[in-house]
Amino acid sequence: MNAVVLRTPHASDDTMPRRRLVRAYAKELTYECLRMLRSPAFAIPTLAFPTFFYVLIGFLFGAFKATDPNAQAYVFLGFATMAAMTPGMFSFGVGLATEREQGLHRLKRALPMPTGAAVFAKIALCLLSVMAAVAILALSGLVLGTIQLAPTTLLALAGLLAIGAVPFCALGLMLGAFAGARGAAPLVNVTYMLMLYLSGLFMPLPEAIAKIVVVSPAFYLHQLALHVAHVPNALVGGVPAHVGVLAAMTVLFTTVAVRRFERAD
Amino acid sequence: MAAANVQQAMTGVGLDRECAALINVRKRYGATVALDDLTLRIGAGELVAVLGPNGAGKSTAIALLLGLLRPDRGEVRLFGQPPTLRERRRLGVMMQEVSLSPDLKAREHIDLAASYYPAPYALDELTDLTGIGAFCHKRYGDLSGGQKRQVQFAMALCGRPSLLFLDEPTVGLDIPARTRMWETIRTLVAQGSSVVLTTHHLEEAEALAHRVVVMARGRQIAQGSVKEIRALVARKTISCVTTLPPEQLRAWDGVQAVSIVDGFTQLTVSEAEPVVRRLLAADPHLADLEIRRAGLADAFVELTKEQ
Repeated sequence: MNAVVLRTPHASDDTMPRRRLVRAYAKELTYECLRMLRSPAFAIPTLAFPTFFYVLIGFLFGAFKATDPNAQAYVFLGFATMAAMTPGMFSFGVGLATEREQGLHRLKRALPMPTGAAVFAKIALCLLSVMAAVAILALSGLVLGTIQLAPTTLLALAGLLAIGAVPFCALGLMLGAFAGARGAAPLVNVTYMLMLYLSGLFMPLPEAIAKIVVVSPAFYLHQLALHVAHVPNALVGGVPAHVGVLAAMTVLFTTVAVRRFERAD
Repeated sequence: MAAANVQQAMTGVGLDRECAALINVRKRYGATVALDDLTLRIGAGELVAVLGPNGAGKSTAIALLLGLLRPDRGEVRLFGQPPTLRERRRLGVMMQEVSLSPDLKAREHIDLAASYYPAPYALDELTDLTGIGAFCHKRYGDLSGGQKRQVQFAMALCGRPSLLFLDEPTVGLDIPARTRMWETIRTLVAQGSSVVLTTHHLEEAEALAHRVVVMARGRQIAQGSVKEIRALVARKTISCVTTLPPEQLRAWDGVQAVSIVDGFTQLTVSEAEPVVRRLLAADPHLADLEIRRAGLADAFVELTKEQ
């Protein structure tokens, strides 16, 4: 057995310099990003699916042939909204529920992880993923000539959609809190698919069920995206109302999830 | 074993400098009382093994010390304070049943854990200390069960903890890896760290612990050095090959129990010598005679079965 000499047997001080605290948050984010990039099950749907389906539906269903530029922008912004929904719902819904059940959450609480570092890293990763996914989508639209949006508008959209990912993080959190690790994947998938269709993201819904959109956070985010892109389409309310509803939904979903987690602990 | 006798084993161990304590703590989950007026003090530089059957309250006690749970009643102190993030920066923790991300490399998991501490070990210091150099560059998902435990051990150590909580640390380890881990634990203790070890593996407690605390049904039922706990159970086991029938042996004075295991007759006795003399006299062909005193495992079974 090799003798091991420890220069300092143990920490004599429990104070954490600010520099190291910032570093801890940065490390949490770095490794969260690495995990995503190494996990195709998360990276591919998040980064590639919006563009894949945009191109597929654009060609198959003739959306790219529409003569009205507003109609083309409508479809594009529908898929951009989809890009904003995906990472939050899956990372928080499925990812976090799994990590909780695998004991990782408990271990990190027992280790001196800085308060909120894991949530910070997950949210930051979602925002970065949304911006990347929107960039890929916009690039495809520009290459195909199916969007006529100014670069500044595209930048504004990327910013809006990145922040707009937060309500979906909260929704994922709530679904994961109720479904647990095993139930989270199917529940999040079903909610996600239903929301994609029932928010009227890609085409206006049939009149009989058109009003259902008001319960979907995706609808409000899509409306905001349409506003930023100067596409006239607001069905209900204006920008303040849409922002307000999304903020209220975020608070509601988070509160319900936290209560549920507290009870489980 | 009468509780009064058990209490006799309690000795004044090195608690002059306390680093963690539960004082008259009570914790219940619904109608189930997990901890019932438990007092447990961990001294600086002390290795305490907390033993107990499943459901004894060990995990609850540890979770309270870590500040993961709050007691319904009583006091929890970590370095003299209620446990918060600040106190936890002086802890290292190795838990059971934790799945880390398979997509990160072992060293990346350690790097992340080390970022939580003010003055952690450098990776090469840590690999020297724990012997994980050979596989710390591999993805965690590609490691064997034992290697994963070693990585979790390194994560527990990375912040130079003053107090280390180890929950079943050597499960799944092969013998060289286990020996190495024990050696590292001894090194840390020799340099002043305290360790709280929970284990079902009594050999481990026997090998490492300065003090053993035995819990059952949320209470401490005995504590003392390994030797003192063993001495609480005065019985010995005589093992031999004999033709004498068990029914006959059971009737002898001083014989508490008789069983036959793999062809060996095993007698549990309080005093071995008179029974051995009588055995040799009664069976001239008696062979393979062996007398064993109770180990920690025997003491543990005896102490907890009456609870």
